[in-house]
Amino acid sequence: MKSRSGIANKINAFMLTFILAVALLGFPAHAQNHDVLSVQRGLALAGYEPGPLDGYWGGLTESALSELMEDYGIAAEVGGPDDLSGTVFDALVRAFNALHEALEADKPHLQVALGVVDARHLLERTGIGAHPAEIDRLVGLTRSEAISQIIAGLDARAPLLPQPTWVESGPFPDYWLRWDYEEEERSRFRMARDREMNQLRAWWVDELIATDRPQAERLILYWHNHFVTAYSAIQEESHAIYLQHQLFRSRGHQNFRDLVTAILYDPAMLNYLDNDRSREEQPNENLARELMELFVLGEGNYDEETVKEVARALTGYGYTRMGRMEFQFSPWDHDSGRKTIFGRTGRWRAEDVADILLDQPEAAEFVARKFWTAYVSEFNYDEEELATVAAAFRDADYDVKTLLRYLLASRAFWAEENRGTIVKSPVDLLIGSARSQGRHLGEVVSLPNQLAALGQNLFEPPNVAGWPGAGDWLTPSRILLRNDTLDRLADYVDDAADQEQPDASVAMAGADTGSAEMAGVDEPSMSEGGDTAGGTIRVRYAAENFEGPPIFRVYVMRENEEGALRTDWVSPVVVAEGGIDTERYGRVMASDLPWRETEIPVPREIDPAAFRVSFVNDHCCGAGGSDGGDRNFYVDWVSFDGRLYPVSAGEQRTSCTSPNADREPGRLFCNGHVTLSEYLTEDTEPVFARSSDRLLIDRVAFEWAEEMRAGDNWVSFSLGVLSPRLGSVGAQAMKVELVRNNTDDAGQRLLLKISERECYPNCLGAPMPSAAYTNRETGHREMNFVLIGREWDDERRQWNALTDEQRAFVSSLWVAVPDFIRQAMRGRNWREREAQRKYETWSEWLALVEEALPRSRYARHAAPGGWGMSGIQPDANSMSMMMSMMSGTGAGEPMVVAGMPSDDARDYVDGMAQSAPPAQYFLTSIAGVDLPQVGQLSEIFQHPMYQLK
Amino acid sequence: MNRRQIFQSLLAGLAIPLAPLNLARAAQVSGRRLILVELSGANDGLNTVVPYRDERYRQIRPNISLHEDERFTLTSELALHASLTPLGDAWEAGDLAIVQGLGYPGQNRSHFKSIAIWETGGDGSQSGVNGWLTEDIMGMRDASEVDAHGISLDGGMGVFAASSGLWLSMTSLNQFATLAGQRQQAPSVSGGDNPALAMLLDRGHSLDTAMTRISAKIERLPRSSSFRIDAGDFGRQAAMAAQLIDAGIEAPVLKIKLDGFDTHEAQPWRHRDLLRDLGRGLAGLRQALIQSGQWEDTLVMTYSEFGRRAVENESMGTDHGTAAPHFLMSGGLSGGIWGVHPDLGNLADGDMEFTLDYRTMYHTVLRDWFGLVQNRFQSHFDPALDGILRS
Repeated sequence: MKSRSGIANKINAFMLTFILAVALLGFPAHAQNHDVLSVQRGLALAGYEPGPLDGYWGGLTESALSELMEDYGIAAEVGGPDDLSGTVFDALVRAFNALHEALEADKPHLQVALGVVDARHLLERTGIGAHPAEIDRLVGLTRSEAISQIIAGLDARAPLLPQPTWVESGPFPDYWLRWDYEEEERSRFRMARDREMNQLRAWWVDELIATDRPQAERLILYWHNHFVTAYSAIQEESHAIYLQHQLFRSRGHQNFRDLVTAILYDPAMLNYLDNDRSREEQPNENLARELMELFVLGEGNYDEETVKEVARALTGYGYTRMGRMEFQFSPWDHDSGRKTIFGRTGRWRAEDVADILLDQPEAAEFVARKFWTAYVSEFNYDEEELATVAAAFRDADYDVKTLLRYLLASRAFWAEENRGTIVKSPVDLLIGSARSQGRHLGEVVSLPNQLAALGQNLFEPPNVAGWPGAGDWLTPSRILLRNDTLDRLADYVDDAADQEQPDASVAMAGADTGSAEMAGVDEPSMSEGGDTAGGTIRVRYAAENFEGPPIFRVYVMRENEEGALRTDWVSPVVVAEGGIDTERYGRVMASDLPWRETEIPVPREIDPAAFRVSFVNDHCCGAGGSDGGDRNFYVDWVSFDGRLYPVSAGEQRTSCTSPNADREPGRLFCNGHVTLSEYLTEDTEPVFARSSDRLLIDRVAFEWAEEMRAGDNWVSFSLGVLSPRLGSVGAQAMKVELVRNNTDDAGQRLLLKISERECYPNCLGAPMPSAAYTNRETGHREMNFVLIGREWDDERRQWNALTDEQRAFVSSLWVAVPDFIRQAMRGRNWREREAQRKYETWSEWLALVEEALPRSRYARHAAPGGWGMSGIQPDANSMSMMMSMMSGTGAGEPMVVAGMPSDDARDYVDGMAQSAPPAQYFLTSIAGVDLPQVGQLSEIFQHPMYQLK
Repeated sequence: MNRRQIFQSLLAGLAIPLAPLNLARAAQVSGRRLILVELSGANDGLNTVVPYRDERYRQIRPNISLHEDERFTLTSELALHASLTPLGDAWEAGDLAIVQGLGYPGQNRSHFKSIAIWETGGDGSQSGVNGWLTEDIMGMRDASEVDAHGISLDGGMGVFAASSGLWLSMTSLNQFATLAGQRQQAPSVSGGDNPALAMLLDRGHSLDTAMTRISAKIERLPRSSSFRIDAGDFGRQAAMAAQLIDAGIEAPVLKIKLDGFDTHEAQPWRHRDLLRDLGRGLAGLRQALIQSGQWEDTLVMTYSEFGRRAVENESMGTDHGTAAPHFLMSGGLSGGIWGVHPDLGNLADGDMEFTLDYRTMYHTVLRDWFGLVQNRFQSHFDPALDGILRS
């Protein structure tokens, strides 16, 4: 399996930054080393004595750990924090489980040996569905032992399937500058991010099916619905969603206290609940309120005054989007005054808030109740048992596996009256079906889309309260869709079970690669034997069906001598797969289109000047116009021979009469075609030109400015510069601040300020020299370059500490500032951030700047060639799009279902089916409802109990 | 239950007596319907219905107050956001009433809590379980007399939350027509003691009944009657509502939604676009219903979880607030400005004080529009809205 790197490392780096920030900013120092702290907690929970739980590696911790390892006969040298491997953490969980199995020995209801019914119950509640092989593995264990098996697999570890490549790609997209984009560019940016989200969603769905640790994925899903964030509500910051997902993946099974603290540092959450612009003068209460209402305490356990105080403590907690996306504390926006929270008064910050809230007795009860709803019953609550679980959770300092262990060990969890009292979510229903049937059902429905249709679009919970579950899954529309979906699955499973070797013309090619089989309509056969002498054309498309799917052809075009395009070769007709039936389900939102890829073999050599994709069977409409059903066809791109032809650069001609119909190429609402002649190739690297006699930048935009007022001592005007570079010095992202400074003893000064905080990865191609100022509030280094007025000695030393190249770089930036401002005026930020009004208050000073610059040392040191924007190059958005497109077309991973090769997973179920499988492998039995005799597997899908777990 | 809770529930019992529904039936007005329009995310009332003469309006909103060219004058005191200009015809015709200063005591500022309060008729100290009109509407019309008690066209069912009754969600017109009859008969089982199964079976049963009736009517809808309202997805919902009514579907309540009003930032641009859809959608709906002769019998009512804070924030937006105005539209009402605008000189922590409990509006709708003199909200009677609806 592919190792996680890239952003996964960034997460580690992020945690490290966090620790450093904690150290630098004087936060409580309880997180010295997170792994050590986890080990200490693990030792304590397993009944060993590691000394104080302080995150410091010491003799007590070391000896307790070696004692434990010896007790369990595990040989591993652990001499320090660097040796803390998976083996150690596994040993800790083993010891924890052993301790609890001993404690549970005198509870008769936990000493019952599991039969199929109990095993399926445990798996369906803690995992996703239950494959018969998973069930059989648990049969015969005591309930107590089986619970240990679940607990042992709560750590998600590295995913089985590789995550989309964009999560590992270098610098993040230019989130910080995107507000400056004009609408068209914004929309391209947005589309690129949407595409990334779709990939992440598709990956997670596949991972949910493949995983051999369904209990870990269930827990991640739980946290996704506890600390809710929705992609569409955070202005398309797909990377933030990914980082949050990874947080749940890496930390969700550990400690709730840590998770609460981490979520207050999480960019996606800070954005979703508007804390990233909460400042002392105008605190935003959103995060404060939801933190208490939905994350920690529950409605009614705090008052409005507390909301206000907590909001004050959270002011200044934001994040940076420059080059990466990570937590950033802004001391000047933070209200450092005293706050009173639950009777405790102090200069509280977010970390203190988490601790104070978790000291409230309601916290453990609230979280335990939420887990109860997810794991035990949506309808029945046993207050006495809940109190026991909550007490254990609190006593274990909010250890998540303790919480789960006590829930699963409760009488209520195993009680007859609570079986079948949770309505299956769409994930339970669809992914659960795939897992329990041993079949990746992506072949019959597009799972991410179908989840969305049934109301559980991953990464898009409806609001901050998350998916309510229970009756909300059973609204009339959803009942209809659920039944319809189950019918389709039933048909598919029956068909598939009838065929030992699925016929290639019926079954689709591996859906895990997103490819779809195409049916040759007027050509004999297009199966694997197709003649590919000329190569293979790949097309990514989506369909909306109405009284049948769209069909299309691909034309290879070449230029004749007059330069006109002529048809060179025409593909057979292709029937679009995977379309949504618009008559039944209505039109599809653009972001939910069920994209597919197909391959078209070309039998002879071609030399294409263009490709043309032609939609040939438009059909409209049902009653109510196109909303009552419409057949449409969408193209995303065509690829051939290492070239990628994005449709956004295509030319479209359809028979639609609306003048706008062909304005967005790739959306064919009427018969017609789109012609693609422009392409990218993998070596269309961004031309990252460098020059040592000319400052190059990719873009400059207005950031913000203060109005120039005579009385203010420090007034600034700030610009964002993308990829400024000169020779070997440069940054990927950089803010430069023009400052007018009034001083008592030296009068007025004008300078250019740069700060490490506002540069990525740093301002000068290397960390700033030690002569730089250190900002007392943030700990970041800063430098001032004075143009007008007196230069302090410190500032002179800073200038002198620069290398020649750095001096040239800084000087070139300074000299270019007037031009940069003129350039920034063309951008959207200028218009929408009222820059003009502020600019006008600066005009006198800017005139002075223009006058002073040519006579300054900066003019002497600046690069002789001035500055320039990088030449026309495929913008970063197209590049990342390109990367993700190409990545999607690679060879598929071997299919895995429930941790088994998919063939084995399927054969296991089919083997059972031949001898009429007992219904209890698939259905919850409750008193008063007879389970059917299963003749065909599909019968279980239509049974009402299949909707419950 | 502690003493305080007991006291509250006693109060609640006093405040919301169960109406003797049988008596109420005599006076009810059948054939009328209500279209609920949810402005999801909390609409900013001050920039929707603008007290443009009030200097304090510009003081508390130095950056986002509406200038003259961004307003549409109604009276010497009030103007609408210019995006609502399409409602000018309705205003002129006396078909548009604006009810000012709606809110409730103990404002809850959480979106989903407060929308749940509006949906269930509660306030800061209690929110109900059932939708605010579900019980009264079910008492008024038995399931056998209607095709549905209510149909949500946006998928949201909060306002229709009810343990029984025919409260449906329908997000495309043909949904029922194409699905009716396709369902395979599920094995017959009974719910027994399992609450989840009981709910599942109950909902499946009501659905089958309603679908059959509704699909039959939609099939008779002439294809040419299809039309569009150019207001995005909101326009699609509004058009669908008009078509359902045109098809003769008996449903006392329809519900549509316009989403995205949570304008913490960049409000001037976002709010402008939202209100444009709202104005076009409601004007289009009115036109369609006038054409089909149903406008006199249709009442449109907007609602939202709360208003937004009177004082703007630092991000060119507004945070969660309290009171807000709402619209009533119909061919059967007395248009104009109703109620009292909150005093901008008397803000509490930057928030307006509500001047009318929103449940007075609910009471008036139930009493005067549906003829349900005795209803869940009669304790919220207030003469402020007397005469707004023609009974």
